[in-house]
Amino acid sequence: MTSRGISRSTLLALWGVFLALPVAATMLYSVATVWRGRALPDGFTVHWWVQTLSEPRVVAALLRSTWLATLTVLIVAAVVLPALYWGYIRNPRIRTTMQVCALLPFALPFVVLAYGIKRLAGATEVTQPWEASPLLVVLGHVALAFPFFLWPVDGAMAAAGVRNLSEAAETSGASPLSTLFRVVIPNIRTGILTGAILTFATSFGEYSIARVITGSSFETLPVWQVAALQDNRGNPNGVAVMAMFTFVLMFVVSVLIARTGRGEPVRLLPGINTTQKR
Amino acid sequence: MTVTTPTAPGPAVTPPAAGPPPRPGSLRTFLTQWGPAIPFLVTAGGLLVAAALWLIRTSFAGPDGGWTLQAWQDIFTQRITRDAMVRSLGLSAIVATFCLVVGSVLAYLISGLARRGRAGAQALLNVAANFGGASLAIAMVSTLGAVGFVRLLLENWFGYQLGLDLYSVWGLVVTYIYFILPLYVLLVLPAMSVLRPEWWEAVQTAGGTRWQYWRRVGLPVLFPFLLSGWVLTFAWSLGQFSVPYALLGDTTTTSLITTRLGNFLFSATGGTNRFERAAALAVLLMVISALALVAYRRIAARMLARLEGLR
Amino acid sequence: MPSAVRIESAGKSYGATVALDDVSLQIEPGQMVALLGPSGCGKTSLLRSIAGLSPLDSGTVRIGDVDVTHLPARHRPIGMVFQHYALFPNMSVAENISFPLAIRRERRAARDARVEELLALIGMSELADRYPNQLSGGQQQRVALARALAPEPDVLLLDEPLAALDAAIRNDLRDEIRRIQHRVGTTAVFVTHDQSEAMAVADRVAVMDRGRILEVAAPAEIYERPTSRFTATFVGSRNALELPVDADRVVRWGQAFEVPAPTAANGKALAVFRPEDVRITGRDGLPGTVDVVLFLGATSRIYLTVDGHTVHADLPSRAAAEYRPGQHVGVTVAADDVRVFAS
Repeated sequence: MTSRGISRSTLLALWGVFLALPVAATMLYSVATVWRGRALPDGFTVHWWVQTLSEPRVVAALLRSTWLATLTVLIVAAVVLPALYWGYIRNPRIRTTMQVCALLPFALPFVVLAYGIKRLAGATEVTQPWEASPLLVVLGHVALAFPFFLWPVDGAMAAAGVRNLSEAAETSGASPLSTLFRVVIPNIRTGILTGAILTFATSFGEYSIARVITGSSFETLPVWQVAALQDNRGNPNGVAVMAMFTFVLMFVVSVLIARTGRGEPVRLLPGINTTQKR
Repeated sequence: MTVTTPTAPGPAVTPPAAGPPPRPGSLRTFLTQWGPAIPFLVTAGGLLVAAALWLIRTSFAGPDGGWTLQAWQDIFTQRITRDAMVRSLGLSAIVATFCLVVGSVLAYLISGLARRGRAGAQALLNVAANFGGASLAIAMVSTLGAVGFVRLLLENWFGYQLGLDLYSVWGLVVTYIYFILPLYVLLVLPAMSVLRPEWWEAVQTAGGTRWQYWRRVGLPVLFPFLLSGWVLTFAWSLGQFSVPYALLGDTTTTSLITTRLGNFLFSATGGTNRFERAAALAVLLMVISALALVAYRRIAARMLARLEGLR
Repeated sequence: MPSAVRIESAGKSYGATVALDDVSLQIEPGQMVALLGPSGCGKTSLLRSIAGLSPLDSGTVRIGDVDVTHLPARHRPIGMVFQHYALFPNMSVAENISFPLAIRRERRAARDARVEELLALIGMSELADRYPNQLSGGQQQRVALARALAPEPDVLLLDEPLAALDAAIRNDLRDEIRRIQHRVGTTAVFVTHDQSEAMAVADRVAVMDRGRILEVAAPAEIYERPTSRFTATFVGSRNALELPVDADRVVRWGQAFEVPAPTAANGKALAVFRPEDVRITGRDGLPGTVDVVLFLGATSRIYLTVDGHTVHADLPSRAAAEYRPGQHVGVTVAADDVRVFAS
């Protein structure tokens, strides 16, 4: 390896260690019997894992988060796919609008949006009953997580040459809807998968919106985590277990993304069109 | 769904039976052009815009439903809130600058990796960037808290007392950097591929060194993208709520704009117009972030134009 | 000052693939030599080793009196033009051209004067402040040429400079490159896979295949009297037929022609002749049928089936007008116009 290669590996390795430390720390806490002040815990046990994962409150929170995230992904897909598709084959302005909208979550921090949605719902009599409803949380998640679906799918559609595919399908006699399902979607599968995974992850780990809109009544996993963290009488090990659980989940998620993504740079910087490959 | 070709707005080909036509041409055009995108526009676009507008209205809302600047006045006069603003801006600027300097180098290094290495790096970065706020807070407490792993390790193995307080501004800096640095790297990674290897070869054959390459070609070309990365990172840091709230809770000693907002929402601090104050803070955040966004697009746009049409 | 370039026994491999196999080449000062060959033949590797962008595994490179084999590119007295222009997008035309001079820390006044001179040379004086993205491909390549010539290099290197351009402007730019090279008098090496381009532009053409130089000669020589089988089939449009070698060491194609077989040929030989050397007669010669007549402007191309082979002949269009598809004709080729190689 060249000297540049060595220093590159060293730097990246150092960063890797920096990233790994908190995860290691959490892992240790989740399996520690007692940890009194020495560098490593006194003993190890799976007790905390068993106990926490069988606690009804925790299980309930997990289920709620999963339900929330799944619903978010479904709605995001159902809303974004037709719009983006139409943007490719009929009206390019749709795409531009969507890309601008995708920047809004950066201008509207989650907590701000959450509060705005809540006040909006509370303003009119018709929507008043939904003011603290989990469905509102879903809507909030949809509004804020869609960029993570949009970007990979947009990239996949561009790479697959959706326009050409659609014209071929149209001249073969297919309607737009059938083209979307039979031709386009199968060809952008990896993009959809990546987008779905990222959206799920964003919704699953999201705290602010759920907390602001539903207070503590709809306790998702992150809401439980923060409450448990701030609860002085609670046990730190249980908290560490769930954090570790989330890490493992996210890691599995990322491995999935890496496999489906195959090294293409995910176009996360909105507006940078890397039309040519390195 | 039938495929219709868009017709120009104007008199319809077959005029309706009776009465003045309510411009069927333009409505139909609109539907054919935007139809499938309407659910998206309503949920994503509409919701965001409506919420923003409502917040603006609320921040100016008076007790009797009128308009007043009271809430705005309050947030700028109350010392804790003012301190929170300064602290937030400072924190975000420090984090963004650190990311710019260190993250750009890291992104460049990663972009030079072979395909597999790059994919692996991206996977890890995706993990790090997607850490939910709550889990991250827990991890940080486990690492740098009072009985955190690193703290104990340093004490026991090296006899070194770590002075860093996780619940101070610098503790927040370290925490933010942990998950925002990967986000920055992911953001500017695609920009690295803008650098063509031929430019380095052209510099070489013209007699230039590596340093001259970076100084005259590489950095000037990259800088707009890095700067826009800075701007986005700044906005992202500013808007963080879960992480600082999970760490600091409702305490008011080390507040940020976002935790202050949380204070007004969840606890009874702030008096009678606490919701209006919360709205004012929210609008303030929105304005700063929106400005950052505009700046980001402008900066990147000019260099993008220069790169356009260069094959 | 133009210099000679001398390459001796250059060798370069990428893992198991041999890019350059004991290549030697001598280029006289002021000459333009074209490296011609199909992709993968090593022409680009050779050029890059002269440039110093890819170090050789073995062999030497000399520019003038200096052995530059171990010198990095930036210390070599060269200028290089790339296939995709490689202009710096953050600099204007003038800044791009003056870049090599700025690197050498030349005084402002001297730099500006030289840039003006070069802009006049490429005919783009009014475009000095434009940016590369505002220029067409041909214009960008001319700027790249000016940039390469700015520091008055001893050798000018061109890596397929016309390949990325539209066909329409390719010929014009080709001629302009040649004109400028002549005028400035720099030694030049021009890499291309297009044989008509190589022959139009160069003083001498080096034909390469699979890491070796097969022959080096003036374009006319390469075209009329190729010495290797590869050159014969690669350069120019040809008819190539595999024919048996008769017992008396003669390659005979019916009444069409009869030539002595090359010594190395055993059993079969490859006979190669040009379309413009095919004579179509009414009676004499090998019988054949006209398949199709293609009108190409001043000349026409006639495809014939003769003795089971497809042969094409180029004739002035007026003469070609007499022939119709399906017509029976006779075909001959003068023995001097046929080259034979071992099969």
